[in-house]
Amino acid sequence: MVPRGLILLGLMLVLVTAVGLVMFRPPPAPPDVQDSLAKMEPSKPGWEVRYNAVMALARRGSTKLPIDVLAEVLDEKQQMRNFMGKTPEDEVVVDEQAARVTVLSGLKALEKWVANKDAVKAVQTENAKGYEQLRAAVDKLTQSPSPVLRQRAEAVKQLMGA
Amino acid sequence: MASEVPVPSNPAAPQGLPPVNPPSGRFILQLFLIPGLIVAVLVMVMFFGGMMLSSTSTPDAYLAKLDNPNPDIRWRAAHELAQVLKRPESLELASNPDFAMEIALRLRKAWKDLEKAEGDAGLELAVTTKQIRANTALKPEEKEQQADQAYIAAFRKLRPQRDLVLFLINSLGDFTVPVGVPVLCEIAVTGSGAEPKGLALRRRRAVWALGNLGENYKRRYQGIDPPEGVKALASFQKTAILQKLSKAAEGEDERAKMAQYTVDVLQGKRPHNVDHWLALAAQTDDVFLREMVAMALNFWDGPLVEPTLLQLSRDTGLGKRIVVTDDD
Repeated sequence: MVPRGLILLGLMLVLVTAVGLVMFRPPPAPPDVQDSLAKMEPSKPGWEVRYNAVMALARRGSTKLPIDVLAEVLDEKQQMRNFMGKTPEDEVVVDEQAARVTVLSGLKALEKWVANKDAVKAVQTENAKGYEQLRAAVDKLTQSPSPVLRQRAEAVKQLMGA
Repeated sequence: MASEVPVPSNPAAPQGLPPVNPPSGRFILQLFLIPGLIVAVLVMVMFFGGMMLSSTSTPDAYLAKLDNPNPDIRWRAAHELAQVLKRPESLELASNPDFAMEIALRLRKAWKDLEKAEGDAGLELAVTTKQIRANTALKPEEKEQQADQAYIAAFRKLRPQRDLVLFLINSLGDFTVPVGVPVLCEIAVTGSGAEPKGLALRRRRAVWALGNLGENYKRRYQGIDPPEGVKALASFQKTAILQKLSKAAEGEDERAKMAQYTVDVLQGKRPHNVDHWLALAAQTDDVFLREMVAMALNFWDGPLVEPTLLQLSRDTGLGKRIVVTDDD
């Protein structure tokens, strides 16, 4: 009876140790995303004004839409860099949610704009390269780590006929 | 023969349990009347409480509080009004053109009074600052500190007046009829004032309110793309609004002019010109204000909307970034 009990105790201790190791092991070090972001330049000053203006133009179906600015709005990594700041304790943090909300707003504005065929035709004629840049930005977002952005980007990609 | 278990001679309930009697009147009273009284009291409290609440939510009730001599009561009433008007169930209140005109008149008066008070405070502050700088007993850093404290003290006492103006601005943006457009536009483009932070905050709020007003006018009055859950006004409601405004437009005073402007815009007889005012506001060196203008232009049409947005889409961020905190 005693040896059997000791064997069972030993097995239980092994099991508890294994579970403890799995639960409390340190997570693998994340890739140094913040370092790569810090090496990037933020968007030029006034980006908040430019982004709001270009999204308003897109929603209106403007034939003179500044494609380059909208493509910048849809650059997820650039927006992460724009929303990088420091806490009062000097710790570098990225407001990922704000960055993704900006990109999502851009996608929604683009979705409205693409529905306006005259505007798309006018911009494609005047700036075919820019339009392709926009399409590439949307395509990149279909691989975003955010499922919300991926889903919206897929929908816009379909509308753009890519 | 096995002995038999004796059968009890009395088949009644064993000893210890109470006898079963029909309930007495007192028992019924305890069981039903007292809980009934409690429920009745609660219902009365809810009913009268609701009545009291609705009686404090009428336009006249708000206007009475906004005209109260106590500045704290005034700004709190404006704050409450700004919250109430946002609610979907307040569509009737938010579409009341007479009420909107009264709020616009009070905003204009409060704004002008505030500008004068800020000007007076600025003059007093100039005298105080001069005295501080002339005081040779103080070190330079002590002079700076005292000058800063004098600045804060001079304008902090105007807080109730400022809050009143800001909450009235917010409220005008939550109406469905563009009654508040003239006064909001004037505030948005007024570029000079005695106190830069207060001025910046008022302008930004006015532009924000213009954006809200544009959205409400479009979605709730004109019924264009109303989001789910948002009710647009019915034809008979719009007819009633136009009748009230037409009646109020008889005369030459400020109220009549405001009513005439609104009825002309609603009937398409004149342009609202918000795009012109926002194009002017976009010439500011306050970067955040330019950002607000770009947002507000989402909700208004007009010949200057697109040119202004195209200009803002190339913004270089030059200018001032005036940071306003809750302490200001």
